[in-house]
Amino acid sequence: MSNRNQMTKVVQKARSSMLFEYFFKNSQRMIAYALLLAFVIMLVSRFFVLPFYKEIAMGIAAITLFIAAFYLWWKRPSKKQSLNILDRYFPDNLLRTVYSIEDLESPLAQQLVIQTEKMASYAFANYQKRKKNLWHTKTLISSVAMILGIALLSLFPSTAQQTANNVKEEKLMTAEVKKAVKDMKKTAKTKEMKKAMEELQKDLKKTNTTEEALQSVIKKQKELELQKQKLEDKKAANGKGLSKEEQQQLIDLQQATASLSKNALQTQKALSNSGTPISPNLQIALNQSAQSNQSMVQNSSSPTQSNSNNSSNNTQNTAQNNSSSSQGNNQGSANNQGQASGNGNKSSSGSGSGPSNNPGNGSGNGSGNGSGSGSGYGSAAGTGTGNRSLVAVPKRIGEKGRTTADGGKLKDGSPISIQESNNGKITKGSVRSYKEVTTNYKKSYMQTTERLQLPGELNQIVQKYFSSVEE
Amino acid sequence: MVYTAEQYEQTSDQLKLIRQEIGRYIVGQEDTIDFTLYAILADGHALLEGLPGLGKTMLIRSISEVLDLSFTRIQFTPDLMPTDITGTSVIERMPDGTSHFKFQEGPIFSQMVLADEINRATPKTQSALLEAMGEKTVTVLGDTKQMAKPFFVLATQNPIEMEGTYPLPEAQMDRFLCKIQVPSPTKNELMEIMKRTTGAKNIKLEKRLSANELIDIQQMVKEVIIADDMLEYAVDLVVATHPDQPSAPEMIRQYVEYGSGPRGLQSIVKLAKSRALMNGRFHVSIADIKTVAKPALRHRLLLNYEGVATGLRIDEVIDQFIEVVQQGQNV
Repeated sequence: MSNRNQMTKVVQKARSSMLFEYFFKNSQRMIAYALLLAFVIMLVSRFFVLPFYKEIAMGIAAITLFIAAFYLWWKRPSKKQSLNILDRYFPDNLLRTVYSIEDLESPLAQQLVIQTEKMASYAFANYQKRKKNLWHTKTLISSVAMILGIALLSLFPSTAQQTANNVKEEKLMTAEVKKAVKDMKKTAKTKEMKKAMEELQKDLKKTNTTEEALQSVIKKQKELELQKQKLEDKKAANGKGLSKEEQQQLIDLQQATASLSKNALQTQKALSNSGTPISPNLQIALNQSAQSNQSMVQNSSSPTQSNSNNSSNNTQNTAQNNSSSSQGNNQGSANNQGQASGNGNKSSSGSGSGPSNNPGNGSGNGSGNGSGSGSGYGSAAGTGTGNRSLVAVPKRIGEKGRTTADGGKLKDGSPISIQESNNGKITKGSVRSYKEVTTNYKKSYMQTTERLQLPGELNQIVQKYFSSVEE
Repeated sequence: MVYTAEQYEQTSDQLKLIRQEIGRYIVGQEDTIDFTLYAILADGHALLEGLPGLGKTMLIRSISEVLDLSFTRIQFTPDLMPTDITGTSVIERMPDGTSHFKFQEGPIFSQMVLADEINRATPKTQSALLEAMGEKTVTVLGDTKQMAKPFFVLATQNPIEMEGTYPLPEAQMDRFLCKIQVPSPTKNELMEIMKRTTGAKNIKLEKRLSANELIDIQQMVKEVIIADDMLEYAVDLVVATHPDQPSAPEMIRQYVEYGSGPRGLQSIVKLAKSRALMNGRFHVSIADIKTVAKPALRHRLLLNYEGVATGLRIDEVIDQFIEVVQQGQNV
């Protein structure tokens, strides 16, 4: 009794061949659709700022391909459809009849099976001989054209695309910062630190630009540094030292501030590499952050290290800063007077604006090379180890081409430069104008804030306050 | 009874001879002859529709001669009465002086009945055929009589001259296995007809098949295999004629009032089987179903007012939905 075995093999072969053709033909079309979508996205991104446009184009193309593959698989020819197609190569629907007879054991049905088996190989040969049209020429040509188009659009980006690239880089930077903060939160051992990092994470979520993220990081770093300072003060004041918990907190704080500072510097470096300008205040805050970080590292490694080393390190940092902020940050350069003199001409544009801010800055440094600029905010001055004769004297004083120096004896300098103020000298019955008092007050307050190394944001607040008072 | 492939082959050859024999007298009209033979082999009745003078009556006469069947012709007229068809009881006087009622069989008691111009008789008379065609019995005065075997009604009707006619009711139309359109002969066919009919030569047809052989062939037709795929296709066709079905083509939904019932499906399958046998096969193909769909369904579809007003022909509708259903099959 014949039972369709031979036919089943033929049907299976035909089905395999049919599936191959189906996927081969349709995949060409699907690839063309995916490329078309990618091309359209690339084209649209030339006119609108679309960050990650390349990734979006590739992603959509990939998703389209994936969906198309799923769709093709879903709609693939069923066994019955394959049978129907192969049946066209048999006379009078023999194959379909044989495959759908209920009673195969009747003599007539058996006769039909035998007839069909005889014809199977011949029918399959005819099936294989048919014109297959595997290649969709038009589709392939359009696919190649679209690949070329996409390549051209990638090679010659428009202004909008360049902007989009910058935005993308910024976003990546922000993401890196966020990731670093997340890691820090994970590694933090104390609750306080975890909470602080959580707050920072929240702040970072609210930020829209890298600059804002950087500001948040610096702000948090400052806060943490204050906390650290408090603990250190406590440690110094209290002879017994800190409790275990506080010690752990101190370690966490040291690590966190160092890590945040490092992150901030890296981000700032990446920003300057990408040519994105940052606000002067943030620049100042970054410098301070870097500086404090450096001093912290060095202090922690060798507390007896000389000031001159410190100042030279700062000089390196400020050199970087000057190169990046050479666009004329006059406000900032006022603080960097010392830097300007030591670091060459790049930052010279802004240097002249604020000599008045630095009467105390130069006091500790000088040394002719002027390298102590970065420390000019007062940190170096505080040590008091500098030579009194090294005070940088403005050129207008003394003889031409020479500097007049105070060659007094060396003394143990007081840790903080004394600032004298006239604010308190009021004789009874004397009248002083409000404006005069306010100006003096502002001056002395600004000096104080400078010494305190307030973050850029707070500096701004102070300045705004005085501006409003003066108005 | 179990038939073999060889028997089917022999029968097919025999039927081809019959076909040739009929063709000796009837010029052209291949489809008409084929479908009439399909109807006979499927043990069904056929309605032939065509203009006068196209040879409808002659065709049926020729078939009856070749098949060696008893033949009667009833010319339907408006005054024809049912008893004129079925027969009636008449008083018969016996030689001994007594008299009693005797049933006098009407012309319907033949194996092949030609109901000529069937739409000219009144519905009452037309309905006399209903029982005979449906149950193959005739009841007269409460007495039911069996019809001869085999029994066929081959009716003709004229599509023109509709005045004074009584279109067949749907119930009666449904009893015809198929409605065959008789086309006008072509130029060459006309030439041949003239040669055969206007000359002195008298063509005598030979009997090729006895009534018993025909009954046997009818049994063979029933044994022809129809696979589920083919049956499903036939069912799809019939379902597609219903305007209320979601799978119905747009044209059907728009122009058709009523579709075909199960009897239409039976007709398709029976005719398809006959066609398969005539072509030497013992299985039904899609082509068989498609070929017989039109004669099997054309008298079972009723166009709506819009369809009639558009001047749509029912054959056009059938052609369209056959195409639609066929496309569905080839997905």
